[in-house]
Amino acid sequence: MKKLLTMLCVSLSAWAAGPSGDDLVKRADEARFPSGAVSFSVKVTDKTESSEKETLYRVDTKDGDLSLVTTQAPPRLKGRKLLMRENDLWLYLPSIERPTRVSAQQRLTGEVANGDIAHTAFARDYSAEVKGISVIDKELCFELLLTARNKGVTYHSIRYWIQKRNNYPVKAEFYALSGKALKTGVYSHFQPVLGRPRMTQLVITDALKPTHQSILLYSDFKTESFDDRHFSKDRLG
Amino acid sequence: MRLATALLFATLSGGLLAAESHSHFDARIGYHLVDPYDLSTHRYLLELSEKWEPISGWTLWAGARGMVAGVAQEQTQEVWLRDTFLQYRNDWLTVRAGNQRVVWGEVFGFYYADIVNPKDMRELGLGDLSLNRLSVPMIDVVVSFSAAALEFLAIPRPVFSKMPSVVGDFAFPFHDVVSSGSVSFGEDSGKDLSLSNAEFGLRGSKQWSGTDLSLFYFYYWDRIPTFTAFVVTPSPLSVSLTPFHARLSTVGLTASHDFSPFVLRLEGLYTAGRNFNVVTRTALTTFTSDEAVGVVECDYEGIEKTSIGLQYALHHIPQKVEGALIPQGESLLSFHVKAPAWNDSDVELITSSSLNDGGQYASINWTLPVSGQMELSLHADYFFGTQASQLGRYHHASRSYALLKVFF
Repeated sequence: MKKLLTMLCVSLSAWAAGPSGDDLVKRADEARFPSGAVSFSVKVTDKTESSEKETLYRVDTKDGDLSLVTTQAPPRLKGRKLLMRENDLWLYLPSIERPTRVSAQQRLTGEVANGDIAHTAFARDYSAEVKGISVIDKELCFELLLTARNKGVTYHSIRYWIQKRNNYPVKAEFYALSGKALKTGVYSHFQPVLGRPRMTQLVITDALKPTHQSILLYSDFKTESFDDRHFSKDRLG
Repeated sequence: MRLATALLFATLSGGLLAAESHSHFDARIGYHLVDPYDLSTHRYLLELSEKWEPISGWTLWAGARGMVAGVAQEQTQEVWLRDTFLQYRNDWLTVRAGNQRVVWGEVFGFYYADIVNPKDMRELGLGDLSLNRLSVPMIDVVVSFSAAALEFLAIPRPVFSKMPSVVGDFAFPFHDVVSSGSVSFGEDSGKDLSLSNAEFGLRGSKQWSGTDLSLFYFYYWDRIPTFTAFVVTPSPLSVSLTPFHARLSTVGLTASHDFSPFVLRLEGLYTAGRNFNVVTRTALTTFTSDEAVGVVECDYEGIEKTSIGLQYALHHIPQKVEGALIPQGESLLSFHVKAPAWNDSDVELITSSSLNDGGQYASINWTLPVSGQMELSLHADYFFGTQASQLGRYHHASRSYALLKVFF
């Protein structure tokens, strides 16, 4: 009993003296995507009990605030574009031929929301509070509660687990304003990307229908030199 | 010349930085939903679009459309040039020269602020808005700032909208004037190439956090004609309708604001000097008036994979003229909802009601993605109301169809 209390005290004191929630989220963001101006490809495989379909996107992003997502395949969806400037989102459909303002909560495909692909940094959109330490897959993890800084973000709150050892993101549970669990995300396949190991696979599972999954595979990362005007609403056509 | 040679050489030599293809084939067959329930549409359409980037910053677009339509009264075989232009783009400037389309506006459906390009109105503009929008030769210059843009465009040879034929489902009601005998239309393709005929537009747009605002001015020829009647032969009666297009100036604004999960969209236009036809029992005349159009729409996006919108549009002209084809004030209330359905398909419902004369329009569309390259749609359009109402007059055109689209 004494030994257990000692361990708990050591963990709690380490937690209390450790990095803040916001610092942890920033470090986990770096293990998800490179900062600065980069482009990468995302292959999304949507699976249900009866179907499986693939969609390929190319993402141009700058500093986590600006993103342009272009659908490259399948041919039926090719040419669709999603532009994000901070919390503003516009969807360009070739059939309408002009950008239309949309909300980040709208789904892009399968279990994937617009913001899941366009938003590459949690630290900007959510304030974080460390809630405790737990063990996932034999790894000690910080458990955090992320709360939206404003209404325009994809989720109202996120329960987020970050590995204590290397600050890699492990798992996230996404919640709506009503408190309803929407889906979970599991981060994996950390591989060298532009100078450091980063997550290259995210599996998103519907909270109510666990057989409905979207698997996001990230590849072909490139450092770019995008001007802010590359992310202009008036250049989507 | 050197530039053109360099572009051509780079393209032919295969030294492309990027190339893209967006093409599709549509097959559509449909029947009228009212007596005599005969064939309403039987159309095959192939649209080819290619894009090459031979040199960084320079892009060449080329597009063409071929269409065969086989309904007895409106048989047509057409080949059109679509978006075919040269684009230069750097960090702050985009210049496009050639056959192209420019789309202004914020609200769902209908062409309120979308006034730049002529439209194919042979089916009243229903269906795919992009397919109905006709490419015209134009120079379009956009100067981009971080969250703003300034656009200037010039159309040296104006082209008019394609209007319904005299006998088609969506023909104008000129048989109210000529109840017996024949009616024919005069030539109405567009204006000659000249500086005095050219059209000019200017648009400024700005985005703040959560808000978009655009202001625009367009000096152009009315895309829709008014007609004067000319009796070719008195017996048997044969009347020729000569189209006339007024010179117009339109100022307008479009705006949207994100009140998550609601999005508010607005459009307002004021047009000076528009002509309108007046049909009486014995004559076809015209009158000139200014025109104001206001549209407000609220979309709700709080339900996953579902969009719901309510739109109110008011069209107003200061004068009240008995027999005018356009009423003095017309209010249209529209509702649309698009929601997921079985096996990744989606269902879209649109209703529009005229608050003045009780005319209504309703459409339902179910689209099933058959594969990544193919989708099947089942669609129905229905018009309700009296023959005197703006929408009810097309009751006989109510129809349902199946549409297969193949993308490649």
